[in-house]
Amino acid sequence: MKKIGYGQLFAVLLLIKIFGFVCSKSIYSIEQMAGVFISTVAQAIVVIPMLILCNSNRVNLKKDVPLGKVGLAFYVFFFVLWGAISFVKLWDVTGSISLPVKNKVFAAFLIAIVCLYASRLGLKVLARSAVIVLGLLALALAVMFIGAYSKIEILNLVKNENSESIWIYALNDFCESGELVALLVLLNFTQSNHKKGVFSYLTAKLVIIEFVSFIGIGVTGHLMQLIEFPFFEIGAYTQPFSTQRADSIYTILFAFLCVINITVQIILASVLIEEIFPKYRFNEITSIILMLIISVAINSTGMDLSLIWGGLIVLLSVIAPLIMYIRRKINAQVQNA
Amino acid sequence: MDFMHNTVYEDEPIIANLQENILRIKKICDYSSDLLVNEINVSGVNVALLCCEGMVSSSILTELILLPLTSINLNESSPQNLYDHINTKMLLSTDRISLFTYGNLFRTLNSGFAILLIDGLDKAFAFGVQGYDKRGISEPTGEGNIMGAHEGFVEVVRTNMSLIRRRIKSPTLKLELMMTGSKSKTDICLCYMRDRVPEKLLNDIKKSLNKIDLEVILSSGYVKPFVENKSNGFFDAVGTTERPDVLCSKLMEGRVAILVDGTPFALVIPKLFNESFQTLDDYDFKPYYATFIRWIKYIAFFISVLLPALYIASSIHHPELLNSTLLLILAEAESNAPFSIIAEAIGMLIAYEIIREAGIRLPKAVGGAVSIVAGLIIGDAAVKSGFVSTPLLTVIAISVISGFLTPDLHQQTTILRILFVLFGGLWGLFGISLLAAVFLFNICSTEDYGFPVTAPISPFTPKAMRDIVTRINFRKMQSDTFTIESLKSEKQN
Repeated sequence: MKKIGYGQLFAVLLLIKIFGFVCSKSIYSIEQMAGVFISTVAQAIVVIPMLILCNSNRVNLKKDVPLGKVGLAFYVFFFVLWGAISFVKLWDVTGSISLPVKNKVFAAFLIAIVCLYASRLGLKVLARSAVIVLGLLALALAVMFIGAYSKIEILNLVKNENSESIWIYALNDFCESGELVALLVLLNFTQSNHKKGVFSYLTAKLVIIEFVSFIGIGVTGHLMQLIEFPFFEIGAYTQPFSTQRADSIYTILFAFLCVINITVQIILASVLIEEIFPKYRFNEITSIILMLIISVAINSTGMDLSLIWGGLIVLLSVIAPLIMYIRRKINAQVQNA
Repeated sequence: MDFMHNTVYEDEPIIANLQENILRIKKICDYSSDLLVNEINVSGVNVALLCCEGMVSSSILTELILLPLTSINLNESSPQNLYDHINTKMLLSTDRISLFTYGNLFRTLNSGFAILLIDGLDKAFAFGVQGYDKRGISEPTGEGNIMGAHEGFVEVVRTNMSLIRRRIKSPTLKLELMMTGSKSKTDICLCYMRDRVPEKLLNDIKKSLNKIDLEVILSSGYVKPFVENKSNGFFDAVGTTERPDVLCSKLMEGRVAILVDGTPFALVIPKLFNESFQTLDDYDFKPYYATFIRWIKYIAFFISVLLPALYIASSIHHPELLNSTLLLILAEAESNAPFSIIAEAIGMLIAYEIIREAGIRLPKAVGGAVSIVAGLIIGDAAVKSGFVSTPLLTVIAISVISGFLTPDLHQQTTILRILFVLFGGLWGLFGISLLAAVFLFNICSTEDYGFPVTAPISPFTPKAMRDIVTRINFRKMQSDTFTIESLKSEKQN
C-alpha cells in the first residue's frame, strides 16, 4: 500500500543520514570531503537495481528477498541492530554534550517511549513529521552558516597530513549508509517518482555533509584533531549569539533526529516481522526491547561492530537487491519464452 | 404519565376524526399548557388551528392564516374539497408542509408552525408563521475583525442559512436540512458547494451524521465528536466559526459546513492547523502587512507555548545559554523566591487560568472586581511579598498575552504550556524536544476524512504554501482556484 510521497521519502532518508553524521566522531578534512563524494557516487550506482525493481513492480518482500523468511530475518536483525547502535550513539553523544538526564539508560528509556508511540502511528505519520523536522534542520544549518560566515579561514582548507586516504573515507561513509538498506523497504511504500526522491536525497546529503565539513574545517582549522564530536563543536564555535556556549540549541535538533531515526528502524523492523509472523501483534514493542537489550550489551562490552555493520550493509543493500533484480530478469525471460 | 403511550406516536398516522385527533394530540403532549387549540368552522367544515404559545407570530397568523381561512366559501363543502382548495388555490404561507404522522406534526408544531387539522381528513397542514423571540444579528463575540462584516450567526438555523445565501448567490450552493436528536429533533443544515466539494467527503460526513444517536442536540459541540474522524488528535480537525463571511470562504474551498439550530457556532470540515493563524482581515490589509501580522502570530504561538519552559530549562539546566548579565538578574530574583522555579511557574499558570475562567463565568457586575483582585492584589502583592519572582511573572505574562493572538488554539496552548514547563524543568531542552516530538507526531497523525491537519506543510503542497508563508495577492489568487481536494492524504492520491 503506497503511503508516502517522494518528498517524504527524501526527508526520511536525509534525516537518518544526518543523525549518523551528527553522531560521527570522524574528523572533517579535505580527504574526508572527497571520500564522501566518491561514496555518494557509488551509492547512486548501487541504488539503480532497487529503483528498477520498485519502478516496474512492487517488491514482494516475502517472495523476492533471497532465502525467503530467513532473508527477511536478516533485514529484521539489521534494523534492530541499527536501532541498538543508535542508542549507543545517543549515549556516546550524551557524554560530550550537556544532556540534563543523569542516567543514560533513563534517557534511552524516554526516547524509547516516544519512538514506540510514534511507531504505533505508522510510516505515513513519521514521513509527515520528517518533512517538518527537515525545516528545523534547515534552520539549524542556516544559523550555523550565519555564525560561521565571518569566522571561516580559507587558509585552514589544506590537506591534512594526519588524515586517512580518500578511499578509506569513501569506504567508511559507504559502510555507514544504513539508509541504503532502509531504501529497499521504504521504496515499497513510496507512491511515485522514486528516482526523484532517491537522487534528491543523495544530492542533498552530499551538499549538507560537504557544507558542514567545509565550515568545520574553515572555522576550527588544526583544532579539528582534538575534537570528539565535530558537529556539536562546530555549532559551539559558530554560534552567532552573545552567549558563552550555544551547543545546547543543537540538543533540540539532536533529540528530533534521534527520535526519527530510531522510529524508522522500529517501523521497518515491525513491517518485516509482520511479513514473517503475520499473526504476531507486538512487533513494535518487541523491536524496541530487543534494541535496548542489544544496545546495553554493546555498550557494556565495548565491542566494535564496524566490520559486521559494513558487511551487512554491503550484503543487504548491494548483493541482495542485485540477486533480486537478476532473478526477476530471469523469471521474466522464462515467462516470455 | 404514560411513557409507552407517548413514545409510539412517531409513525402513527393522523386520525381523521377532529375531536379524537385533538384528544390524541393532547394525550401525546400530556395536556401541555403551551398547546393552543382553536376550533372554527370553515365553509361548513370543522377545522382546528394548533400552535405553541409564544412560538408563532400572532399578527402573521391572523393576517395570513385566520383571515383567509374564514373567508373561504366552497361550492360543495367537504373535507377533501377544503383541503384541495387550500392546497391548490391559496398560498397562505411560503413554508407549507402536508403532515401525515404525529411525529411530523409535533416536530413542526414545536418548531413554531401553525397546524391546521380538518375534520374527516387523515392529514394536516403546517404553516410557517414562526414568531418566537430570537437574538438579533450582532457582531460575533469571539472573532473580532476590523474591516470585515460585523455580522455573526445567531441561534436560529434558518436565519443563519439566509446569511450564507446572501453572500453566495450561486445555485451551486446547497443547503441541506436534516434532523437529529431523538427528543430534541434539532434541525441541522449541511452546507456545501456542489461543484467544489469532494463527493467522498460529503458522503462520509452524511454517514457520520446518521450515526448520531443522542436524545438532545443543544449545541454544535454535541455534533463535533461524531464528525471528527479520528478523535485521538490533540488539535482540532473540525473548525468552528461564528462568522458567515469566514464560513463562505471555507465553502468556496470545497469544505462542508454544519449549522446547528440553537447555537451560533458553525462547524467546518475539514480544518487545517494553519487556519488558526488566519483571519479574514488578512485579506483586507495590504499583503505585506498581512504577511507581517501572520508571522507575528506564528512567533506568538511558539512564545506562548515555549517561553516559560525555555526560561525554566535555561535557568535550571542550561545557564550557559544566557549572557552573564541576564544570568545574574535571574539568579538574584530566583534566590529570594521560597518555592522551586517549576512550582512557581505552574502555580502562576494555574492562577492565571483560575482568573481567566472566573472572568468568563462571573456576572458582568462583578467582573470589574476580578480585574482589581487579579491585577493589583495577586500580581503586585505576590511579587512584593516575594512569593514569585518578577522575571518569571514577566515571562508568564508575555506568554499568556501571546496566546491571545491565537484564540482558536487556546485549549491546546494552555495544556501545552504547563506540560512543557514540567518537561523543561525536569529534563531541560532534551525534555522539551521529546515532548515537542510527541506532539509533532500527534498533530501529523490528525486527519479528518482523509485530510491531514498539517497540510499543506506536510504533505507539502507548494501552491498552497503561498498563503501560509505570505498572504498572496488577489491577482495571483484569482488565476487558480484553490480547493481542499489538493490537500488529500497521501494514501488517497
